[in-house]
Amino acid sequence: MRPPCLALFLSIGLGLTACAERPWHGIVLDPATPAPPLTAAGVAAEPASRFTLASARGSTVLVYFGYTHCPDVCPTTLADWARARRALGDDTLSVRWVFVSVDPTRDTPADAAAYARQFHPSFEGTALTDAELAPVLRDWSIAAYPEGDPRTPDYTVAHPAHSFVVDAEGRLRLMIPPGVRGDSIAEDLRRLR
Amino acid sequence: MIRSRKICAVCASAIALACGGDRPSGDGPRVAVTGAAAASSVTLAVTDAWARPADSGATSAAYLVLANRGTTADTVVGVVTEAAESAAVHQTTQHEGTMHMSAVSTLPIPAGAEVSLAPLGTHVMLLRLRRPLRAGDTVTFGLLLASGDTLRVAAVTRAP
Repeated sequence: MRPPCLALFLSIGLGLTACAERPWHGIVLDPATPAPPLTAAGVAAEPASRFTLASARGSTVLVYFGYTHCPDVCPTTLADWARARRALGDDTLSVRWVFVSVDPTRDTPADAAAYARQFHPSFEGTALTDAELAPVLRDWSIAAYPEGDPRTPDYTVAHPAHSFVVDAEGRLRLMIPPGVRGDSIAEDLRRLR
Repeated sequence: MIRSRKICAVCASAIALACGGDRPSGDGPRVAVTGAAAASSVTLAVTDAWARPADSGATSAAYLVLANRGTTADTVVGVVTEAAESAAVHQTTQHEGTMHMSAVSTLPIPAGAEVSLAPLGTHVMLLRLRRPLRAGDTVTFGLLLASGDTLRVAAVTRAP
């Protein structure tokens, strides 16, 4: 084999290797485990319209725990989600984007839904009640709590940094750190399928 | 010497609008900010000022780039505005997978330095807005400086 051909094959081989090893933008959860519910059984009567992961089986679901008074991280993340949705184009039909408020004192499910819709009309929102908060945080192994005096209107809420990605089988597959751009999120979602 | 003058910073709407994207690039044209008094050695420039849309009564965040082209350091020690019931500089931090926000009581602007207030970092919180901020609206606030000056900022609201 003449050297130029060898070089060509080598470069193709290296290129394919590079593709195969392209890193994820999010953090891969391996092994994938069933995603805990976003509600706590038995603590509240759920409105039928409220989002549940069980009802979303068959779709990839992005979940972000935040609060509607959050002026920086939450809107940055949801704006990146909106870019990801645009980047996915026609692929987006089987993806659901869900903002979950962890601020039961100030947010209702309707508040959270209205907040999420500001970023894209297809985005969904729900809010955990006081009674649901502790069991859901425990099941998801995450933290959320008020910082500052919650009796005042200006307290902030510490909340998880990452978006979680649940696959169509209801398994937790990825954690996407804040600041990952929309096109990178879209890339991970395409690859997940 | 008692310094009573006000530094007037004008961040042109066109500049903020021209930047595009969610995170300012910081490489747009600069609007020089100079005091009326030639004696001042502090020369601050504000660029890329923008704010997030929010409803009346809700919280917005504003971002900008502060450049100190002078030979004397200054420090942001507070925020004043008519647009919201309360305003402050805050900082977002991440610790063990959890995001936190805390007030920043002093934000130094060293001589010759550029300080960026950007998403996921330091930002101006506008709490309990007195009127809604919609895309294209301009919101104004003043950054109180340790030198006694007030740096006026006009930030254009951008759709998220």
